[in-house]
Amino acid sequence: MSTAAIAHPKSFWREYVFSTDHKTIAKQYLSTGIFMALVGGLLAYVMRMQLAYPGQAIPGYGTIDPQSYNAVVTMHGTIMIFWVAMPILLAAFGNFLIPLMIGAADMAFPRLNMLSYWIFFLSTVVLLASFFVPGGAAAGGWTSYPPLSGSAAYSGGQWGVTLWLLAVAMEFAAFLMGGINFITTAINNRAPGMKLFDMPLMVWMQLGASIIFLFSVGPLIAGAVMLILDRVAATGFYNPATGGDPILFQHLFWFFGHPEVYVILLPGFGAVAEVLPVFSRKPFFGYRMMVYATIITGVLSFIVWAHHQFIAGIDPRLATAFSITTILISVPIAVMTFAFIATLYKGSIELKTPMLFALGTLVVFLLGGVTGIHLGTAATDIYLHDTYFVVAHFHYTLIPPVFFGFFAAWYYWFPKMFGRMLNEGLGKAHFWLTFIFMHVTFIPMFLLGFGGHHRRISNPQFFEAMQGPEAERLQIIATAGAIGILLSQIPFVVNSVLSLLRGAKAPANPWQANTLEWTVPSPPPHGNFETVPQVYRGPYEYSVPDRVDDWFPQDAKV
Amino acid sequence: MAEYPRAEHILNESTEVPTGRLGIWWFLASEVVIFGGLIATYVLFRWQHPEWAAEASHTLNFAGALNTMVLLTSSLTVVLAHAAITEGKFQLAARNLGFTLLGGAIFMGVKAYEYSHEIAAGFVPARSLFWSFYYTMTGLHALHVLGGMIAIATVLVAVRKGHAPQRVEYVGLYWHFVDIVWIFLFPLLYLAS
Amino acid sequence: MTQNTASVEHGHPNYVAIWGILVGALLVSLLMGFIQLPVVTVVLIFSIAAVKAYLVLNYFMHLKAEPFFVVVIVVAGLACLYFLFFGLVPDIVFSPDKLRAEH
Repeated sequence: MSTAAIAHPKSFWREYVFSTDHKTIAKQYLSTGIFMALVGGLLAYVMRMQLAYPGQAIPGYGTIDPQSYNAVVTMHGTIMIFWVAMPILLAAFGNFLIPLMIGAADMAFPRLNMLSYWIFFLSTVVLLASFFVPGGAAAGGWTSYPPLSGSAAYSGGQWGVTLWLLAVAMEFAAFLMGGINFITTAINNRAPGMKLFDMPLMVWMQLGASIIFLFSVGPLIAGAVMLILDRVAATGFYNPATGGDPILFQHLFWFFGHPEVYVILLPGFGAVAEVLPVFSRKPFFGYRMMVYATIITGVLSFIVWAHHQFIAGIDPRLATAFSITTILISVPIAVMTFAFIATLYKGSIELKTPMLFALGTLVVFLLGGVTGIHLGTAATDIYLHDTYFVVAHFHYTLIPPVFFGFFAAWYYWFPKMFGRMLNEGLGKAHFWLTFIFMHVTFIPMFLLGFGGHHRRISNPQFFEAMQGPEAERLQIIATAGAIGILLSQIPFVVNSVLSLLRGAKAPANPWQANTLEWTVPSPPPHGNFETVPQVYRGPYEYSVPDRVDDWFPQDAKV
Repeated sequence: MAEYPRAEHILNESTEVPTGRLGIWWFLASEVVIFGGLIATYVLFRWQHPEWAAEASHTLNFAGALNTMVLLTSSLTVVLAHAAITEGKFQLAARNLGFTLLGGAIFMGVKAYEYSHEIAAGFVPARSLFWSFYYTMTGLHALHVLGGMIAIATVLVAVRKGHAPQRVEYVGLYWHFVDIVWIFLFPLLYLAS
Repeated sequence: MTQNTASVEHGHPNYVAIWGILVGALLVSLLMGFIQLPVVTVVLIFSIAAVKAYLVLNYFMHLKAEPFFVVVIVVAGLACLYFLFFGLVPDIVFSPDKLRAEH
């Protein structure tokens, strides 16, 4: 069937609000995600100000009591993982890129796709509403461990945690729908000639992330149902007094929670994998090895979860086993990192903004990955657990894919999404400021963690061990860095708004890249491709000898 | 497998499995881990607590057996509906879907009888961990039966008008899955006492 | 696909017969309740449940006729549960706290 029948949407509502077009849904996810990033960022500001200047009034917020501080920490974590990382990396770029990269007119199930976004939107509303209920938002940490989350008496409010659980459950439902859509589309709707191993790595990574999510989230959904029942129906699944077990929730949570790390990481790496060959003008080094490493990472990610629970009272024999699997998973991740570095080797590297952010992802993630060894090994984790070292570690591992990976993708695909070019100077300023302040914020936290500074303490002055001029100075430096990161986003916002309004018109293929999304106009019309593209080769054939152009589009016949 | 007219927006299919059916299989895989997580947790607790056998003896075996029978039969009718639709017999398919819907309704009725009987006898969810599991597992399953009934009713309306033949198979797959879950819940909660 | 299409055109599996086997299996597992050997009964009852699930999957859901990767989808979910189950065993079943509480 031709694209004509899906090319004429009926009204404003069908075109921009209840749209089934994957590109519009991607932009909806993107804008919701960016808005939530702003909320999450402001929560981080409140939290950091309180830690640097405990008990003093925070400009724009006022003084903060321990209960509200706990709510701020909880919501910062929840929002950044579930309402920023997932919608932006997975839902927005997955939705936008999968059909375009595989030569499809739309997702396999466009209406399911729309439903997925609107359930996600509803979950966002529920989550934000939980700030304003009696007792305040959930304050049991983003992991919501019982008994803290199991009873209103412990976590301060009856409504906060229940709404939190409801919002997270709806969010999971939305991403399950999205994930099933992604997987089915990538498996079944590829353009003729595109074999599985002709798919761009971004599609592979989205596919991998969706499959990991789908298989890991189930037990947590069951666990969340049990937790809700504990709260509202007086059951005792997690209550030792009735024969239940609070550690059970930790197991169910991290059985999902650790694979979730890879759900977030893989799409970020996918963006890096697309950007590096284009700006090095070289084929991707070890394409198949990269795919296999993704699969191995996915499988291993299911057997590492208990390294989050070394000091929770789990069986010590388990701790050894999970230490080993945790260290093991660094092997496929190292394969990926080396493949990235080898792709750069002897390339003609162009340091455009997307490339800078892609390289930044690698550099920062390397630090995050290396500090993971300390935490994955039970012996050192027992000392470092629940200190600022952990906070620094997971920000060093999650900021690379979530922010640097997102920005690489943003600067790279912005011309395709909106049909305008971004300003290079502002982009580079954005990168360098973010990159520098990222280290200013989190390196002090490594030091604080080594010093034994406990995380999730609303006021360091409450504890003698956490006082002292050095610790205070480090906290102030970290806070300055965090404010720096927030302010560094001004060039990003200015750049995006100005470029949207009057940036130079983007050509179809501004970066001279090979993949199919660059063969259609910017922005792509409804139905994407005028005729179904025929694919002849893999996605990374750059600098092919005896060819005039140094790129070789996937659908070019000769 | 029978070939149906393709969904309108699908331009091509890279594998031999129709896109809709592939989506259903992935959906079922996600359901497997939801129910599986719950069942795995229950089995572990049950293993740790042999004394739950006494509690489990208060479940109504005959009601559970009847419901197993009802679900197995409704699985048969839904697969007969699928067989009918591949031969183009829309009305026969609609009738079989109607029987399936009836099976679902009987199942829910028996379930309601069981719940009210048990709650009246004091076996409420908060009574003990066994009953918490019992109500959570059967309740989640009953919600799936209800969801399946709504889906089947929607498809039934379409099929009566001669539309959407491929959907008979899709709701059928889902209904069989719900049946399989019950095949395991029945011995876990009723028989193993 | 040719082989599968053929099986549909020349008659599908005898669904009523399979339903008969399923009902028979249900009756057998009900009769199991009268055997007074706990371990044997449990093993048998769950084996029968597995056989029933296998029959429904293969003949009612036509998993048999699907390409191999569809089987992999189903098995992958079960494999994940296998990991989960054995990760949980030491903490829930053999946990020292539990043993202490029991004595």
